[in-house]
Amino acid sequence: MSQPHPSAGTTVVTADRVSLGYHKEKEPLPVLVDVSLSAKKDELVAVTGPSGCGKSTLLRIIAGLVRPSSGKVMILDTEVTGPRADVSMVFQNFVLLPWRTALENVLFGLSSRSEFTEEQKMEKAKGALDVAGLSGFEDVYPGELSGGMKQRVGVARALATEPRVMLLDEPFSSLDDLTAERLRKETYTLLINPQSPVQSVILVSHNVEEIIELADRVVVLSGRPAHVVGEVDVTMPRPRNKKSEEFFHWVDKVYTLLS
Amino acid sequence: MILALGLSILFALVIGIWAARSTRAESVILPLLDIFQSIPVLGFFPFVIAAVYGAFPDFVGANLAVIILIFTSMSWNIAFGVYEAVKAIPQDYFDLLDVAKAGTWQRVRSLYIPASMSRVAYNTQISWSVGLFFLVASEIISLGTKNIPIQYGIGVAVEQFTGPPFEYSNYVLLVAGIIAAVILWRYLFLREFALWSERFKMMEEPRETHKDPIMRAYSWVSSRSVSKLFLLTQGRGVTRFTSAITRFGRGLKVALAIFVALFLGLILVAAASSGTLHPEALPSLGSLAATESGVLVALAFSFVRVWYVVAICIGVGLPMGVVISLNFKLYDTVSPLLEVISSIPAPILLPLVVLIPVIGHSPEAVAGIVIFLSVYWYIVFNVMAGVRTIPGDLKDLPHAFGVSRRVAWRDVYIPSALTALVTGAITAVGGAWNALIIAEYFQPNPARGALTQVGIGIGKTITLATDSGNLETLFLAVVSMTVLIVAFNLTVWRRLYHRVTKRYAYNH
Amino acid sequence: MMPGNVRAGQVISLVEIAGSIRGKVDVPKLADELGADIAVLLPILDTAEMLGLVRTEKGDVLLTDLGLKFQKTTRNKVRMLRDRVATIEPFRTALELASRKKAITAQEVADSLAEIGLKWHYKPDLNEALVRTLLIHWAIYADLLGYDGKSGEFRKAQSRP
Repeated sequence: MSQPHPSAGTTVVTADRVSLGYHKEKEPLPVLVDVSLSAKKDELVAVTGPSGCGKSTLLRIIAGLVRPSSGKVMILDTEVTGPRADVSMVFQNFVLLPWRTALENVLFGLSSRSEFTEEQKMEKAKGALDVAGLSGFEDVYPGELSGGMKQRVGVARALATEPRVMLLDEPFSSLDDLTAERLRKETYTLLINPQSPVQSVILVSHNVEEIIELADRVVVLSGRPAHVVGEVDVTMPRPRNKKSEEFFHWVDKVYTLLS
Repeated sequence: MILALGLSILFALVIGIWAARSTRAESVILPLLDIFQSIPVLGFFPFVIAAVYGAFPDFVGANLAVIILIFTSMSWNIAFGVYEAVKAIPQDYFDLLDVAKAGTWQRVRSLYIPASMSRVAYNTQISWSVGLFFLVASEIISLGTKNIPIQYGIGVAVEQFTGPPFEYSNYVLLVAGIIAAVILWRYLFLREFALWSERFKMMEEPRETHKDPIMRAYSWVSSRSVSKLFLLTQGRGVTRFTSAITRFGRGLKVALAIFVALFLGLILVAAASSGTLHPEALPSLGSLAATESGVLVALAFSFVRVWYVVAICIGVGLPMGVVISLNFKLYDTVSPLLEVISSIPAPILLPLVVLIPVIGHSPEAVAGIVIFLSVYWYIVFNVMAGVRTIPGDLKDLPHAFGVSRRVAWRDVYIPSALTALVTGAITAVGGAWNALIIAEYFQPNPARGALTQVGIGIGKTITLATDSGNLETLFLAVVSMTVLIVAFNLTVWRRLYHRVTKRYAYNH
Repeated sequence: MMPGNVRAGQVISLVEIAGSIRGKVDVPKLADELGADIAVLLPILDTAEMLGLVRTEKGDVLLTDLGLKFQKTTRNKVRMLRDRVATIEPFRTALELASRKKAITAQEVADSLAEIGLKWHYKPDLNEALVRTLLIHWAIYADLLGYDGKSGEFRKAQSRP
């Protein structure tokens, strides 16, 4: 798919003073207040905060799944008003259809794309499984895959749609440490590279080390209702050694904002 | 009724704990529970009456018979719950008691009973509805047979109010009274019981999706009791059961399959002949049904009746359940309403159904509606519970990838409801066989004749045989019906269930 | 005979960590680095040794030449071990069966292994499940077998480039 590729430094995603509130028994119940963030081309922006602070909800607002009460989300120069084809998502609990094979699960993500023929979809789905490290596993059902492999299918499904913006909702938190570690590295190189269609990644996570390993910028949410309590530009060069002094320094910086 | 409930719980605790703690007992009790659960209780009722009434030929005997019937209708379900609960206790607790050198009674009191409590509470709520249905049905039947004096009871009231002269005011009063009683009982007692039992929960209970205890009960049953039993094929009770059956002989299975196949053939023949023979031939078939040789023909008719009604239930209930559960607001308003409607025992509504213009004059339609009203809820509630247990992210999935409505239904909603739907359908078919006995030949008072009756059907055969004291035919009818149901369960349902849970159970 | 509960990913992680610590590393240290229990580590270590990726000497773990090559490969690591994996059970028997018959099931493999006394679990259904998991997780990665989840059948792989 040919997308207008913005040059480096262009802002791809902007959330502008996004607020969300529910009404509970006539009482307004604010969840998010005036949250702003932006992600430039080739940037991975992480959103963190205490559990239940609404960071996943923010991600769903960016995805167009939830409408904000006020404020707006822009992708390049169009406003997000609902789910869109150039945004894709990877879920915490994989959310694969157990009654569909790995390949069929990836095809499900492509099913609304009428601009592609069936053969093209098939080719894209197989290609996505291959880059996610699952070639040969096309006809295997999710129930027969390990957690890490399931999430690879989840990544392949999101990637097959060739999204401009990739949203990751705690994608490694239901995996064991070893698997998460490997998948983290692979996912980053898979998403942010010159061949990738993905221009910006927004990661929601409560794992501060994971964030420092991956993010270019961290947005810290806190409080009830949640608001931005700080932003950290992680300027540490890659690859980042998790055992280094410098790494701990960045981790510390985020923890200070959280507490 | 409460007495029967108490008995059921006691029975369930004993049997459930026993089955869960002893491998040998497990291999006997589980299949038995399974079979008992699928037997149409009402069919056996005349025998129970005869036996009990023979022993205590008065008011006590009649009431005892009713209690036994209700007990029979309620206890299996609770026993399954107890079994499951005790099975799910983590090994550590047993080790703890071993270390403490606890005796059997102490174990039962300090571990097994508390651990089972929350499930007993959930299952009790379902059993209650079932029991209520049988209460009405049994009190009517026992009256129909020999005018046995039960004196007080809902069923008796129904009988008095619905026989001609039919009085609206009395009837409306009665139905309103029942609804009020149902609501009161549910919210004052069952709900409290359920809330109270929350304390006994072990930690690894699934996240609750809704605060409503009734829904949870349904969701519990659909997601656990049966499905888990089958899912536990790896080495636990059912494996033993299934492997016992396989060992018991593939021959038996083949025989059962042949039986079901033959039967389906018979149904086709019966359906074809009824179509070609026309109405004037039906009475002769009808009278044939009252004889021994006619039993199978009657069974075939009833089989078709059961299935078309269940098919309609699925056709209506599946989309309805999915739509309601996907919409939180709709769910919150509609589900309490459905709950109340569903707890009205269908036989009470029969006199009302008869009054519907046109349809009311067709016994076939009346029977269909009564069966529908008796079993529709199993389907709807199971589907609702099934859809509600699917994770929120899965509901987001079709939107996140912008797939069309058609694909979302085909790939997400219907498959996620499928396990629950099959569970619901199994229960519904079981319920439908019971409902037949009332629906095919409804006769509140023998002196006044039948209020409605279909041309031919096993339920009618059973009722007529009961009335005329034709025990031979009655026995033949009940046994052939039971054999058919059990055979069908072992072949068709089991296989279907296995397939569905293997692929369609959602556990990431 | 390959341990039933070890996944390819675990072996990859082990080799990576053993390789990142230059020279020898003892087992407790390795367990610590992996963030795994010794009880979890040992079968992974066994598997890695069986595949010729590591050597243990007096409680120290060393990468072999193959292990070093394995560590440096970036994609389809297990593919490298194709010939090795093919000699280990249950893959050996599975391949043998698959060359005689077109399609085989995990049950057939488990049954014929049970005949020569190789079992991963004493319960037949769990044993079959473990064999299936092993076949899926190793033989597909190693490009030895293909698997169709719909029929539950394995076939000899049409070698991928």
